[in-house]
Amino acid sequence: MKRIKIDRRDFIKSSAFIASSAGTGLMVAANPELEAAPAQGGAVKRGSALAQCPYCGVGCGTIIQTENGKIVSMRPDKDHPTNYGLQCIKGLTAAEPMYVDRMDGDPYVRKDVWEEWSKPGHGDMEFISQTKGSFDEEHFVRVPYHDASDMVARKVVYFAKKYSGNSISLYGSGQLTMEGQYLENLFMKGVLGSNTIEANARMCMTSAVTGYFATLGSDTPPLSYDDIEMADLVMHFGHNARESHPIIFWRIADHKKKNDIPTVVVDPRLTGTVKGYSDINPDNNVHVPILNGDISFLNSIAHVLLKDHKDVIDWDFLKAHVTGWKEYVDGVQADYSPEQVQDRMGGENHEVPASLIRRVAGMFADATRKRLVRSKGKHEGKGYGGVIIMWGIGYNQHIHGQHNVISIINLLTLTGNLAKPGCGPFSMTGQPNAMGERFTGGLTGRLPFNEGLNNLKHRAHMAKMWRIPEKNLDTAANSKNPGFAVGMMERALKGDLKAMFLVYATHIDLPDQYNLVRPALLKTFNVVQEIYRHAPNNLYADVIFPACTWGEVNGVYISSERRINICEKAAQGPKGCRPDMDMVIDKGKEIADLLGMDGDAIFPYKKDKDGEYDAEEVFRDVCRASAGTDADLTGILEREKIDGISPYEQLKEIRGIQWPAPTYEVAKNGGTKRRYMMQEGQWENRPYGYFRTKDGKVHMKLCKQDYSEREEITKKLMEFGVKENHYTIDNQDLIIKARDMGLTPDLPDEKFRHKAWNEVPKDKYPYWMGLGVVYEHFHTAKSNRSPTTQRLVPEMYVEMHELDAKDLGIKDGEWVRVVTRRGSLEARAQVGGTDSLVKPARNSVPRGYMFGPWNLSVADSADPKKNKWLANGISSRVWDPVSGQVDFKKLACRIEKLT
Amino acid sequence: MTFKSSNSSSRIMSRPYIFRHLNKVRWVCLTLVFLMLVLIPLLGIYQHYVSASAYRNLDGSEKLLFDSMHALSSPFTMDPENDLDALKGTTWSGQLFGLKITDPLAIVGQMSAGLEVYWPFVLTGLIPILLTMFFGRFYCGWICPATFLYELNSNFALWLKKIGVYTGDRKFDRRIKYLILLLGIIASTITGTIIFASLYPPAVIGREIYFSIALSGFGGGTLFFMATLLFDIFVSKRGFCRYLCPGGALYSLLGRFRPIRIQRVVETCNDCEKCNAVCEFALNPMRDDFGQECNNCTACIAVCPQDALTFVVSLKDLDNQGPGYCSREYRSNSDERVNEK
Amino acid sequence: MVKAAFKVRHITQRYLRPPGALKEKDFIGRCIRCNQCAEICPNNCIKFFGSENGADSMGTPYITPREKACILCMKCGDVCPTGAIKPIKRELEPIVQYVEMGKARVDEQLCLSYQGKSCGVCYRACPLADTAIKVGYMEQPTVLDACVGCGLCERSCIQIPQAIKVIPNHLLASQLKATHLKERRSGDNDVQIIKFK
Repeated sequence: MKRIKIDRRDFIKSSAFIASSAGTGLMVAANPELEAAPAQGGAVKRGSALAQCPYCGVGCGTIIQTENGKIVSMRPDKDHPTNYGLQCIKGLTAAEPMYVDRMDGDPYVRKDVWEEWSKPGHGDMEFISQTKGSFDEEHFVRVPYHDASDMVARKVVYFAKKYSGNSISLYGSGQLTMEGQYLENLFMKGVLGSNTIEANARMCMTSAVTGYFATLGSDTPPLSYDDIEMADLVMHFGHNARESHPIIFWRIADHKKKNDIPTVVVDPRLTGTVKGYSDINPDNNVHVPILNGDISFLNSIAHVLLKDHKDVIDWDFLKAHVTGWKEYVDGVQADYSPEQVQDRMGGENHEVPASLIRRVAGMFADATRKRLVRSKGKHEGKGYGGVIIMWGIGYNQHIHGQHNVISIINLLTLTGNLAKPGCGPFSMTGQPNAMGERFTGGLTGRLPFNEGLNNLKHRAHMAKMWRIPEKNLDTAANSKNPGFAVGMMERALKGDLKAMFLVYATHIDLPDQYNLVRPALLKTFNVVQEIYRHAPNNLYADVIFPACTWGEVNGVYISSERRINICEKAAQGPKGCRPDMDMVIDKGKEIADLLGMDGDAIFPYKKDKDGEYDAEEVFRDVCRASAGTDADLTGILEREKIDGISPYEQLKEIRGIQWPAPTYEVAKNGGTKRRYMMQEGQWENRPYGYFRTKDGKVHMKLCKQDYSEREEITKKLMEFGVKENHYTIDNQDLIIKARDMGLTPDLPDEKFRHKAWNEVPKDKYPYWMGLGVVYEHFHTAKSNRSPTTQRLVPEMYVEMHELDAKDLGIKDGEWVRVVTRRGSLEARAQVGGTDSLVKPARNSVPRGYMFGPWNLSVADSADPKKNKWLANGISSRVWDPVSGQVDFKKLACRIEKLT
Repeated sequence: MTFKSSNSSSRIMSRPYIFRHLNKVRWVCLTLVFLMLVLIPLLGIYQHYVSASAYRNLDGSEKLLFDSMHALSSPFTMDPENDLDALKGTTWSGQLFGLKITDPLAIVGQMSAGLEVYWPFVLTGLIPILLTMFFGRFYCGWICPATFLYELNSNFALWLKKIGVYTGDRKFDRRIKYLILLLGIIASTITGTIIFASLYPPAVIGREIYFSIALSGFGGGTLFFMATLLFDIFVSKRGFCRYLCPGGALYSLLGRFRPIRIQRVVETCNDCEKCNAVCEFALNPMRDDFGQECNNCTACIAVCPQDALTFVVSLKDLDNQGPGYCSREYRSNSDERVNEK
Repeated sequence: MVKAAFKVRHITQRYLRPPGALKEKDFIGRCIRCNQCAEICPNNCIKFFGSENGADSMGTPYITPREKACILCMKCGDVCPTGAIKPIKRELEPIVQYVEMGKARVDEQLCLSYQGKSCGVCYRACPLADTAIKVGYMEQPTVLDACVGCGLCERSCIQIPQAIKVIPNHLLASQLKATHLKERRSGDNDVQIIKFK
């Protein structure tokens, strides 16, 4: 007796809340790997290609596998020195979203724009589409590539001539190949003379960048991953490594298991990172739940070391190679004892008592002593070990982010734990090639190879290397883009920006979406290069060019340890999709010609048999241009000359080269493991001494933190995004003051806690809200189109402490609205840490603090009318005056129950 | 000829107007029970949706279910997720606000299958057992969902007969169902499972309704019940209840000595036979033959034009009182007797 | 003979009984097929057998963890009138002590974390994480003794076929029995032993 079963959808309150795919605007294929599988019978053409994983900044080596010309799966590369055959779940499933929701064929142009353009004389050149805010098919026409490209070029030239090159901007990406980024910078600064080029790296790592520049004179970490296994203490600041950089986390955990090294995790939440280390040894793992007082914390450790652990202070080093240390030492001794900093440790829910600070200082000192023992009591000389301080995006994303980084380097410099084997500062990058963006200087005011636009000598050098007139770079240098990425959007709102290129970067990673970014995008002529049809950028695009993605282009990525990794082209992109780099070259040539320059001379690259430009040629160009800088790669070209192995082949052969590689020997041995203090090896024309600063010394700077005027300053900060026509770029003094005092962009109304949700007045925001990431997702686009990762975390959630939820009257699993002054989002309440039935439940938040990932921002729908999960609708635009980063993690919110 | 008076050991209850209308009340009761069998699974599904906070994921028909159940339940509860646990189950076994009530046949079946007495379970059947001992086989007339459908089926059969389709009215031996009860007990004991659960119409109906609403599937049980409906139409009216139902057998046994029973008031009876015609269980009320099988359905009371049937408190039926005093037969007999004089 | 034939089970899939259920033989005798356990289950994971598990199992509740696992809300035990599912309090100690749905088992050949690809999804799905299952290097799972067999790990495993499976209690016990029996009685069709790697 069989039952006749009719299929029903079911709803569960357990391992994964499954959002119905009918409700989402994305199309998630059932299993694209199976669809790519060949039909029965017939030989299957299999292939493989080496690449760096397209997700986080660890830079694991993978092997892309293809069948019949389609990418089907990943296999970790056991010969790669970063991961040795290990991989995490995101990298493993990186093949799944390759062919879901892709655009192909001709570019899309807004119908009204194309109609205007088709008028005689091209009509109003400044016409911007009126149908923005929707990406429905009916608003677009399909235009052949060359026609669309021609229109874009002419409009850009028009704007450049009428308003200056600086009225055109480019928002680039840390996921584009380094060659593409190099050419973007060339195009914007060299051809257009614009200084308004930004990238999503600005939201991620520029605090580290500017921190390094300020102290060491040049960007990026001086260490390699191998130093992890030599460290005696590893500290994580604002870094949930287990979720964001799993492979590095497990390397450290492995080291901790084998050698029982102590670990310290500074993070307001009790994350899986803390738990993982505690599982190995809870006695030497310390969790420091600081909310915003990291500067004070670090200064306080220095204070304790100076008082109680004088033997670990490297006085000789300070005297010989450091400036500013006297002010630092005096400053921390006077104002930063553990008792004096208690007001900045976050309050009753963030217990960092003086005893804890002293304990951490003691651990720090002990680790330093271990190194001293190995090097026989001297800070210099042979030996290894000491303290590695790692930090992640959580640490960079503050309105005093640069000072945060400087404080870390201060402390390490004080104790001689600087860039020797097994010790030093280690910033972990978020994106696979944010390092490339920094390397090629694709940011406001920067030039490639760690120099600024204001360096006249370098300007002349780059103009020569770029084959562009030097006056263009002068123009760029004199053009202003205050506020960096946020400022770019504010200038657009003010009407100062006319056109924007968005390449491989989504606009939804910028803060204050509803008041700043989306209104700004309505005002500019937007040219978008995208891979997915329903990407949020397409909502505001006037022209969309279908692009090839990772795995379909040749190029290199640079990982967090300065390793340049090859990313081979594994398969041809869908028909009509072109590599981003190619489209930049095409437009660059056209625009250069229209502006009276010689496009072919600037971009002398040839196309290969697939009709695509040869990325390796560009790479050689980069190597040539890097001669004489501290990122010198000419060793690679020497090796090509001597051994006859092409650059890409070299990268494949030894699985990456860490820059700089100034000589043949260094290039052959895989690049430079450790920078500074003469550790680079034989380098004849090294352009610097001990350190990359002008005087060759480390520049310590005492960073202060002072909450005495917190309320009034923060009150003014909270007006941005709320008051009409109120711009941060017009209020830079305020921002500088906020940074100098180490503040947060919002301040919650704590008096209104302990109330039920409907008793909190509508103008009060009692709780902290932080945005971050979740292990199963990377950014917002690919992992939500991958069936595996989408199924694991399909819905937006907000972590809540169970007592807060009880006060509010919210139960685990209920839908709530998180409201800030600037906007709101909807999320499922995840109450009770690991006991919650809303998975993934692996972190515990302290009372008064809520946390949600930004990865699900458009996972419910990219259509603004239906999209309720847009995380950056609630964030604040206040930026660090030097680094330009904003604080996504200290927002003041109110919780409402959704009925 | 003396006027034969009623048995002095019985008390004639006054015949309030209400007894005539009890049949309507019974129909309301049957309808309500059937409605609850449909409503409880629907409320259960609504409860699932509430538990999962899933309203935003529902589509058209599911939203309709949610909204209608929400409208129904919201006057009574602010916390449907937990409060609706109070209404669960079917007539086979269910719970009402924490009180568990089970069909006594289930208890008998389970005791024979498991060969053990689990007292908490037996206690859940206490109320039905006591009520049956007091009111007789009332379950069959007032509660059983099968009765609801069978009585409708009987009316349907009448209509079929009117339009000329053949309907059956064979009579079998009422004692067959006791044999079936016994065989069922033995079979349960041998196999170690409750056979009754598959063959007892109210259990089958409750389950099939639940499955069709909550699990989207019909099963063999529906076919089985359809077969009994056809049996009732074409072979024997109310054949299953009269001759085959083991539950009916059990309740009849329990209700044999019920204090509340129907009795004929012979004084006003006119032998019109309407009561016999309407009796679904083929009893003989006109000749005081109610027996243990009578389920107090009051159909006969309702139909009697002379109000000659009523409820009494008595532990057994009267013996055959003979023709009703208002009947022709009686009058002609009495005339004869008078004439004899 | 008849009895044996009646009891033949054609186990085509592993199944679990609801949490707190009596041992298989007793359960079948006690369950009155009232369906209330599925009605009250907020997770909608309880289904009922037709004839596929033998005529004696017909109408009894079961759970297939790969399709829908049990979230250990323990409501079914409260509602079961016959005590076929024992009522158990929804707290850690009673659940760990009295719920015996089965035991999870990791297939290290299939598990991604044992192949150098950190996963850890089963650990995150477990409602008794760190009590019933723990993870080590690269999120490699190890099932602990306290595992009650709810099956949420199996449901969440991203491998196909799943790398972690719950071995139901009635197969666990008889597997133990089989290893201790020197010879098996012929004609005893009671339970088929299924070999797992």
